[in-house]
Amino acid sequence: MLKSTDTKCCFTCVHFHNSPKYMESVYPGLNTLSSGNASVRKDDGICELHDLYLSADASCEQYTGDSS
Amino acid sequence: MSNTQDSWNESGEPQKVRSMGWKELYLKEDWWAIWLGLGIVAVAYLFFINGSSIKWISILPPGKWTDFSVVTQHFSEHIGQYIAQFVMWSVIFGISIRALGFKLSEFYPSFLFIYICSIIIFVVGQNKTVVNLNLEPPLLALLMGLIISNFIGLPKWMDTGFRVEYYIKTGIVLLGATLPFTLIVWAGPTAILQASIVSITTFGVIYFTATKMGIDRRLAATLGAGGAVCGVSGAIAIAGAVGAKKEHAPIAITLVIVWAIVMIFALPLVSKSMHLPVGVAGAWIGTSEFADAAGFAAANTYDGYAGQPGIAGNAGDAVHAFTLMKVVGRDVWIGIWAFVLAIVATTRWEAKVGTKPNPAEIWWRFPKFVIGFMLASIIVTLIANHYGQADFKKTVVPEMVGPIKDLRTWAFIFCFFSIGLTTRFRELASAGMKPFIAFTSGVVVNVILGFVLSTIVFAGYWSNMTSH
Repeated sequence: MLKSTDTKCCFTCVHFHNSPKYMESVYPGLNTLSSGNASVRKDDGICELHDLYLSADASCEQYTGDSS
Repeated sequence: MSNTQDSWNESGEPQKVRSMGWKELYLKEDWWAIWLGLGIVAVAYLFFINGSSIKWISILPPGKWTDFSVVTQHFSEHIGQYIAQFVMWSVIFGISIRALGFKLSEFYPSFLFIYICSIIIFVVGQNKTVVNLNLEPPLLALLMGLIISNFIGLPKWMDTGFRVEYYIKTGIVLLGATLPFTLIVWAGPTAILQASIVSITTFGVIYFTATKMGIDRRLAATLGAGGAVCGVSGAIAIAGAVGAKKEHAPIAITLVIVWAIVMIFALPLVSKSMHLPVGVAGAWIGTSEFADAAGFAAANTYDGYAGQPGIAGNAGDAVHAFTLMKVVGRDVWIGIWAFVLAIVATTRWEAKVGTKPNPAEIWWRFPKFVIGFMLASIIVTLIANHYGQADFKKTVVPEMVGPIKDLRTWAFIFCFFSIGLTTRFRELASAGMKPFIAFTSGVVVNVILGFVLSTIVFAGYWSNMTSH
């Protein structure tokens, strides 16, 4: 378990994607009985580096800042 | 917005969105469902206190018919009202759909398709021959959608208009306006007790079975939440909270959808064959269906059987009992499930990547549309208190509550049709035998336990709803 910080969290990492449309495209059926825009989903998303679905506030040692 | 939102895909759309905090008020559909639902209630009330009504625009196709000339005459006389209603839905849904990041150029043609098909579904579903086949409009909408999506196919961009959850959440807020708050207070604790017994037991069965078969604990928890709490929404919330593998959520999504659709058809038909009272069947559906949208389709269908020989209770009791059981009894606890499982995941499962569990999780994952549902119920109950019971039934119901109910009926049909249109079985992820066995074991326990609690233990509550 690594410590989460405000800046070096998954949301600001280049490997992390979480937009509702992106989530509905990679999770077929998500929009059938739920939604990418639902409150229950918070800002969770996918880490393409670790292949995990996790909180946007999570973090790890492989953090790579999104410079765009 | 954060500069990190400048991560775009090939279509120029953002791949990251930060929607928490105040942004949630316009970036989450739960809040839009509240704005729309309460907005409609407010407008209905303003019209009402000024001696008018919104019933002109909340028109529905004719009820049960045998002669098609009734239908043609109805539409020739009221076509202007349908055009106005379509414009109304297009505007209010269009604004919110745009705010949620979808393209209006995709939404409008898609929504026009849904609206026209919904009219056809209403008309065909009210034909007496079709009614005799037990194909109530919700089942017909679902069937029609399934056939179109799996045998004909539609362009993927049309999914922009097939917003199952948005339509059902809007419908649930509108439903609040037709459900007395006194009924929520009276039956809420029973609903919470019954739903908690079933949720905890079902989660335990799925989790225990899954882990005994060697399934990853994060997948076991994701499956458990999908079967025990609130379907796909429960699964996706827990998957995020415990840091599940990317492929875990799609497995749960597949299993929830398949079983939810089976239950949409099975629960009303089995209930009917056993002549269950309408409220009792609604409670059973609320305990044993997995997702709100699917459950409303089943409960709405059973409401259509009210008044048939051997089936006691009134139309509406099934949806009311379902709502109390599912929305009040199960949905509102998703944040607590997520918070507790996040603690377990980070302290017991040695999560590789994660974050410190935060109690604020309970609020962020709370299905906010429930707030709108409660507020709508409180508002209309307060309005009702200014009238005697006779006056309420004579004036407020036909001029204000009735039209809101009719608009809710539209929102529900948009939803049920969209369930079918978005269920493309060939696109669903392969679940695998072990997750299927684990999830199905929970389904079996859930259905049996839900039946016993609804028809025996708490039957007195659910068969006696109308008197409250």
